[in-house]
Amino acid sequence: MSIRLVGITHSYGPGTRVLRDLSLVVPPGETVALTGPSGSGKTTLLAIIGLLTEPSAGRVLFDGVPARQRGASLDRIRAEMFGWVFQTANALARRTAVDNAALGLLIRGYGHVEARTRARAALDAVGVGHLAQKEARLLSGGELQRVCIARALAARPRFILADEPTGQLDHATTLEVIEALLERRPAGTGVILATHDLEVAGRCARIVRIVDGRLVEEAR
Amino acid sequence: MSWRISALLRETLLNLRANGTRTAFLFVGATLVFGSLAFAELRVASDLLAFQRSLVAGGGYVAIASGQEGVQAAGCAALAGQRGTVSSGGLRSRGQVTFATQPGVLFQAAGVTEGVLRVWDPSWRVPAASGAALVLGRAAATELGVRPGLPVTEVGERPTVTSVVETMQRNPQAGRWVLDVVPASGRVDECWVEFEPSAYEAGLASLSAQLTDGSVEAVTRPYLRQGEFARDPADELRDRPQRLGWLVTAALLTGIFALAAWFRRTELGLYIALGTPRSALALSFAFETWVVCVLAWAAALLWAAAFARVFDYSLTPGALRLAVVTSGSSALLVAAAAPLLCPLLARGSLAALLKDR
Repeated sequence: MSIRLVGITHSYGPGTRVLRDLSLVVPPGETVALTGPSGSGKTTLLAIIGLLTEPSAGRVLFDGVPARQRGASLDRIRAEMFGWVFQTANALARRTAVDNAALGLLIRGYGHVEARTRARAALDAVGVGHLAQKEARLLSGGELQRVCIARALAARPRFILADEPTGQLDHATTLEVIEALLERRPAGTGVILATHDLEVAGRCARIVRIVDGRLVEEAR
Repeated sequence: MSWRISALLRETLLNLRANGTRTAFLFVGATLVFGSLAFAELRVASDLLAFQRSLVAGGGYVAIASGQEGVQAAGCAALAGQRGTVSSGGLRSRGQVTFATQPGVLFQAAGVTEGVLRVWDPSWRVPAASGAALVLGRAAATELGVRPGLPVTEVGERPTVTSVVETMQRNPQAGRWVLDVVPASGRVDECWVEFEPSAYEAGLASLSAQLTDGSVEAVTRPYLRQGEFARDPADELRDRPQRLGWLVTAALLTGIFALAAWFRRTELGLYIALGTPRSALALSFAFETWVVCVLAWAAALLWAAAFARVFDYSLTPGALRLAVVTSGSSALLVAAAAPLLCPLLARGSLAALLKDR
């Protein structure tokens, strides 16, 4: 599945326009880094792609079709097409790592046993299988971020959307997390990640730079 | 495809268990609120219902109708079949009698229908009589030294005492009366009627009209005259402030549940961002609220009943019913209202919800 953004403009109120007439195409399975200074609109763009936010103007097309015309609810499209990794490692703090990793599968309608089996495999794949029964609040930042990556990978989405996934991690942990995100993903799953870190961005197939809400540069 | 119901409910229970402190806080809070309401109801109801029982036992809902030429016995007896009437019966005086074993001692004699004996003594049952039979008041039976089954020699007759009627609470003077049980025909001097407490006022007001026979007007009066400051337990029970407590407590608890949900906005945002429909989220939140409410309500009734025992309140079925209904109404309202708050709290920008701390 490809994603095509056409003339995306978004503002949070008068005088707070964060995206301006931005267009972008992401083919299936591609890894794309969104870079740019703070406040340039990277997070908002990810939220618009992931159907968390509706743009003020412009269209988001999936295989050329707007989300609302795909014959399913936005919730369902969100669950089936996207896996999320947030900057602050949003997780259910008092649930175990495996419970967190299974969440996306449960939301997609998997039964409890199968969801946990797949979640354990995903945790193993990103190197935190031994922490499966540990509560999320007791994990380190890097461990928790990998649990969130496992949550995204386990559901085998079309795209993983990652918002500054290494923003709060040290260099060594950053490399581990990025490797887990980019190298362990299933075939055909694309990654769109927002980052300040040029080293992280350099691991992606394509870099898109956004300044003041405009796409100013693309590099491969 | 979205959540399987079984998986969603399991997820809810796991969340309840994992967030033990929050669950315990909500459970204890709800138990205290429901329990306080149930205890308040038990306290008031036990007091008022005990008072009402004593008022009923003392004839507080008994009325007497009479007329210059008496009233129709059949009409009086027929009142017993009406809704709101407990019993009714007529009384016809037949002068005084004496007995061979107590020569010279006079006893008041009267013909009574069975209904009037039930008004005077609700526990009185129709005896299996044969031949000439008498019912004696307790005092008369003691003076004559007889008990049911023994014959007594009335001057000119030798009837059998079939039963002794206990009239001390509702007509003490009938304790020395000698009573023939007669069929409800002809006219009687007085018609005694006992009403249900809730039907008393209306019954008393309409009694005269029901027993007025042609131009002979029936005069009615309550057996117990109620003064200006008399208490009416039925009114007090109906107007007790606790009856609105279920609304107040439900609002308070809904607020507490909403506050607990307010601190979970990030969690709600995460579920929605990953694709959980708001309907599924509301169902999960509802199930969570129901589990806490049902357990808290059950615990609340137990501690309210235990405290009521400690304070020696009588746990009658009526008082328990009031406590269960009032606190149960509160629990139902919380269970219905609190889950509606979840989708409301999860409204707005998901990105903002996810950033919320």
